[in-house]
Amino acid sequence: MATSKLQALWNHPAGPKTIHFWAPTFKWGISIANVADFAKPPEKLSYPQQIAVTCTGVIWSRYSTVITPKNWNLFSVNVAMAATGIYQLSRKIQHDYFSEAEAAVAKEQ
Amino acid sequence: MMFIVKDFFTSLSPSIFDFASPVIFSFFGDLLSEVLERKQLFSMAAFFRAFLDSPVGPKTTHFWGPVANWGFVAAGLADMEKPPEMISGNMTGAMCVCSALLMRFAWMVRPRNYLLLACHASNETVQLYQLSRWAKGQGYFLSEKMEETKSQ
Repeated sequence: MATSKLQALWNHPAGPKTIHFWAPTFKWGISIANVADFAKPPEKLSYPQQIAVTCTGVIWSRYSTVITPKNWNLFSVNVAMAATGIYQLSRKIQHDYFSEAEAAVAKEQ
Repeated sequence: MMFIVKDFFTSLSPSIFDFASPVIFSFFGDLLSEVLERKQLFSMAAFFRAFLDSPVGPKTTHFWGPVANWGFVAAGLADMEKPPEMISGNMTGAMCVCSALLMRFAWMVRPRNYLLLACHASNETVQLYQLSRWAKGQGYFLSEKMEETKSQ
């Protein structure tokens, strides 16, 4: 019974024999790279790149549900991309626009 | 004029047809089939209407997904002049791998998505260049002699 289920997964139209599996699998690399960049100081983040990551994640989450074959692997990876992109953007915006008051206070002291 | 256009498109072999100019054919693919079925497009208005109503046109997410991915190309181009220390080796490397795979994905997905293919072909180029800039900044391309003279 287990082998037939595994076989069904193996032969799935979006399964490991197809690009529909490996493209999203490697796309996790982008989210993992972004998570690794959580430790980077916000000055070194790139606004254009993080905006691109966020927009891609949001739009592709919808795209992955209307293509043939429907690809939940792709859906999940794009949701993660949007999440990491939003977090990085919030870090950079907070550093650029909302920590000025703290820096001014530190200078005065 | 339209017969010249028709001969140009139909005289090419299928493989050249598919790889020659994916950006153009992403929009013209459905329009071409209309032309070949003798529904000739005489006006710009008819041309744009066909584009707007296309199953991979701007009313569908099959269009906006690839448009979003052009953001990566734009971001890569915007970062061309920035110092290499600002390039993220992680992200750039990951994108080089992913764009190669997504080119194949765009080819195999249904409906076939030429716009996505064009996008990731460009992104692959841009990200490989940025990766080379990053690697040079990290010192990967220095020969041993140059490293000795640097350390002296």
